[in-house]
Amino acid sequence: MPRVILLAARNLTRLWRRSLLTGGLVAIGVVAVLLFVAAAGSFKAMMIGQITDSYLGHLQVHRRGYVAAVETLPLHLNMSARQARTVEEVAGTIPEIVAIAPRVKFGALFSNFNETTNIRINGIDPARELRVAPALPDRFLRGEREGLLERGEILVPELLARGLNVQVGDSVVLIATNRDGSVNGRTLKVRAIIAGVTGPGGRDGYIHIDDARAILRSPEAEVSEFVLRARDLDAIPRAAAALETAFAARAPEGQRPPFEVHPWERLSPFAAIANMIDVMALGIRVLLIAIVLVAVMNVMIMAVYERIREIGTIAAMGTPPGRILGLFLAEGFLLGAVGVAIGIGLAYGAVALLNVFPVTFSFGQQTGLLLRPTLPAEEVLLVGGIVLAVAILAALQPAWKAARLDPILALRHV
Amino acid sequence: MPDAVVAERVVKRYRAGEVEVTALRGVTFTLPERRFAALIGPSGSGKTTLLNMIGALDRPSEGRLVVLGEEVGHLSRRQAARFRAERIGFVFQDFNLIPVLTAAENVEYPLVMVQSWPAEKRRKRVAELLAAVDMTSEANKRPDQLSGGQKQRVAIARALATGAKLVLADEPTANLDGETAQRVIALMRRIRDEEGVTFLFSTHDPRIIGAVDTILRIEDGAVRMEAPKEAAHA
Repeated sequence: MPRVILLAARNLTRLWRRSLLTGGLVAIGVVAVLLFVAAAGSFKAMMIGQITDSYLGHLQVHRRGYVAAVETLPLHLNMSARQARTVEEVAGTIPEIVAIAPRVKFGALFSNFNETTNIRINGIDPARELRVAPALPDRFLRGEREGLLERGEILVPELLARGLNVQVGDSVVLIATNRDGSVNGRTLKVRAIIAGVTGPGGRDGYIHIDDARAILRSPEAEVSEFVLRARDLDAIPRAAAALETAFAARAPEGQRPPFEVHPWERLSPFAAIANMIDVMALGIRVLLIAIVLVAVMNVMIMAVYERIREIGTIAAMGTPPGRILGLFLAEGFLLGAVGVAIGIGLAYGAVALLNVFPVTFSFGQQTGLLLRPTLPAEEVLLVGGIVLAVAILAALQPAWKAARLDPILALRHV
Repeated sequence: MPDAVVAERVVKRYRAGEVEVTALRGVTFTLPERRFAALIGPSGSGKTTLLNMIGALDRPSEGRLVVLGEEVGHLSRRQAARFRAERIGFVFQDFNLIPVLTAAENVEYPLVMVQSWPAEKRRKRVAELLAAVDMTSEANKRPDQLSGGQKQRVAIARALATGAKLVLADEPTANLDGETAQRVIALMRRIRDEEGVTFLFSTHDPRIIGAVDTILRIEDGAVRMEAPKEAAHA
């Protein structure tokens, strides 16, 4: 076998410019795929990390119908204290779930005593919120991160703070309509200004859950939503399924459970973008397959045509057809391998360069995002494997033709 | 002495488009081993067809063809390849060396790609053969660095590499100048004498015809054995 590979390598040097050109073409394809996967994959991972770790969590549980009406943040669809206890009990029995935090959400008027605007508010338990959204403090642009939030404090989204010229330490007023139609307000101190992030809830303000219940004059510890953190991203579907099963088991016979479970993908429009990135990655891989297939097949067809007499000679000498097949397959494999080796080297170089000289980009209302691409080893192995397999496949037909050539006709070939 | 080739009423027909052509019409002859023989005849008389059948590259349409004790007409494609690999050597008019391999590697080729000889045995055999054809000093040169005569000597060494007992040579001196051709003929004759290898040439070259000990004249699809003197006068 090594001698076949060696001879195949020698054969490729006959027309080394052509071999190099083909290898180069394959390499360009490999670089394009790996760079796209590195950049798009890193972007996707960054955005998903930001979305799940800084506000949405991995999963959310709501009372049935709440998400469908979420634009109005309906107080009448909050969970009662009893329902909230049920959700916490169920979540506590599922090993995939490592943390759960309650939120009370409502729409309010936000005033700096000069101007007033609308704001969506999340009432949170700071200690528990940090366990389900550990990257929330990373969104702090100004203000003290430690401890996240105390009673009487508010985290104000940047756009709103800029619009109303609100600074850390200022006093502001929140006014909200309660479930019974009455209006209540409370003065709060601005603890921090936080950056907005892409997606629903990305520009919400945060106050302590006790303050939220006080503003809403809640008679009991009602909850708008529970945010849950799974063991890791891969565990989310299992956790969601376990929650749904458990809720269904507790529902009265013949009735649907009163709760809905939403993995982050169902709550964030970025999931569609993430899926599109996956589809594009698949598309670019298909393009790579086409490049390798055409490039290698073209060279191998030419190689067989140019060496028909030589094939006749080695067949006349008694070279078994299987070995002739192997020789040409090895040539196709080597063409792919050269392209893969050059392509992977160039891709790692380009990724390293992009990390030394980072590129910034904007997404939605977020600006100055840093692209920090990484090349996962499994992706490199996958792309390398695809190219080598396709290169062998592309060489198969010409190699088969070479192996089946009639030595007499081949020796007569001019 | 056993026979290298026994042909009994060998017929070869093939189709050329719509027309069936009979290339050989009941060829019968016997070629004993250790002969230095020439197959002569006009162009299109069937020399190459007969040589191909003797080399197990093609099969007779009818008749019996026994080469080195093996009836080659019944061999499968795989069996024929193995038979050629073990028993037959080929020398071509255009040398047909593999251009990317050195002279030594060309000789080594059948020992690696056709048979799987161990490295040490292979090296020894290649050295012996190159010495036998007086090409030791050119062992590391590629075919494009060799003269026509040198190429043909390498081709002869390659044909003998696996221990072939019958070498079939198609116009082996056609592309060589007079002096070189004489040297190549002398070399093959010496190998015949020393190794007991039978040589059968398809040729028009009077230099070969004058050097062989057996003439097979092929005419109108039939073969007639002649003494070299008869052929020279024909």
